[in-house]
Amino acid sequence: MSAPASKINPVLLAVLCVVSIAAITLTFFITPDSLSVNLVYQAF
Amino acid sequence: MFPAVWSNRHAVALILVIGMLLTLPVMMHVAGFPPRDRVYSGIRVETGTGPLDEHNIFEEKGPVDILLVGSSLLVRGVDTDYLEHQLSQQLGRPAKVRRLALKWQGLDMQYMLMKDFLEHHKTGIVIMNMPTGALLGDAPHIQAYRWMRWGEFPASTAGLSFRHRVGIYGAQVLGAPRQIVNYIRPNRLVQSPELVHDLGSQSQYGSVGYYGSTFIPEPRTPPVFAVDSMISHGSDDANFDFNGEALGPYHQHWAREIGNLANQYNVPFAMIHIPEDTEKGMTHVPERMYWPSVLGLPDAPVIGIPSETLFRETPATEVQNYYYDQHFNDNGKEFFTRAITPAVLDVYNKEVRRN
Repeated sequence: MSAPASKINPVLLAVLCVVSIAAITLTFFITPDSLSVNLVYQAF
Repeated sequence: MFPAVWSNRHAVALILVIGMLLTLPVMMHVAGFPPRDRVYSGIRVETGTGPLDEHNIFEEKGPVDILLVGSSLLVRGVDTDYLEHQLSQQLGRPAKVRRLALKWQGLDMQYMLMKDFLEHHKTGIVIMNMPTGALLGDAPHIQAYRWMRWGEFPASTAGLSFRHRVGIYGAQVLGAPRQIVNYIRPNRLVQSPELVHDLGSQSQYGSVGYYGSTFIPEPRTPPVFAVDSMISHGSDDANFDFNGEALGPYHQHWAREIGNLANQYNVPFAMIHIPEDTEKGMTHVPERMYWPSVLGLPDAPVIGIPSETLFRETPATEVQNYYYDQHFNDNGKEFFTRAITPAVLDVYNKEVRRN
């Protein structure tokens, strides 16, 4: 079975890329231990 | 293989979800935060003394004579009940000594606790334990996502670099989904005063031996030290070494803000050094920097005893019995508190009178 062809609006795709990159970039600025504390203590 | 995004509607949904998560701190600020008096009870009890902090700041009323602010080193280092008793005797009236602390070090955390407290209480003196070498990195406190809310104290973050502001915003993004639950159901307060006290003193470590070894009770009456020898006299005081690893710009910023806060509220300020296990044998009190200069409070004294002096009558092999790791167990807490209290009372007397 062939994959369905993508018919996404390129503007939407670009916006999605921007917010995704922003989110990923932000994680580099978060104190790493804050993330591990969240996991260790199931704080959220 | 299906594409990651299979329709325009799907793309819009993803953009909205990620966009909302990224902007939630700002949206909450615009909508109005839930009351600040529940921010510390959002911290899980395993990770700190939040319930006691919240009780001391928001629930209990009235002036306080001595406010201690710091990290877990302070919690396990100073017996506030003993100090309060001694101060009451000195003043001839019931004195009030309170402590605010969270696990892990960070001057941003200590600033926030101090600010919240001074907004609600008249305070005789603030005594703070400053970061030691255990504070690694130069980023927001591990628990910052609990109590730093976007736009709440804008003046305090105004001097930070863009990188550090993004770091704070990242913490706020991390904490916002949990904070938003407060709109629906506010954090519950711990109802049992005994439990609040136990959590606040981290009493579970009181009778723990060094790194899990058997706890050995030790004498808790220290030698008597000259009060003057426990208080710093300038940056070249022989009992103190202020030339440790300098703090990074982020924490130096908060040190300055703490100094500004003390000036703003016109409250006397002093610092106290809690000896860690690694200081065994040291003949001076190791400090990372000359704090009075960093804080902009040139007359603020630093109180401390070199480890070698504190344990001068304790056999070297028994010093570790006063610790459970880098922190004091109850042997060390009572021993150190009894040793340092005369200096704390002396500083209180001088600073409050001068003020």
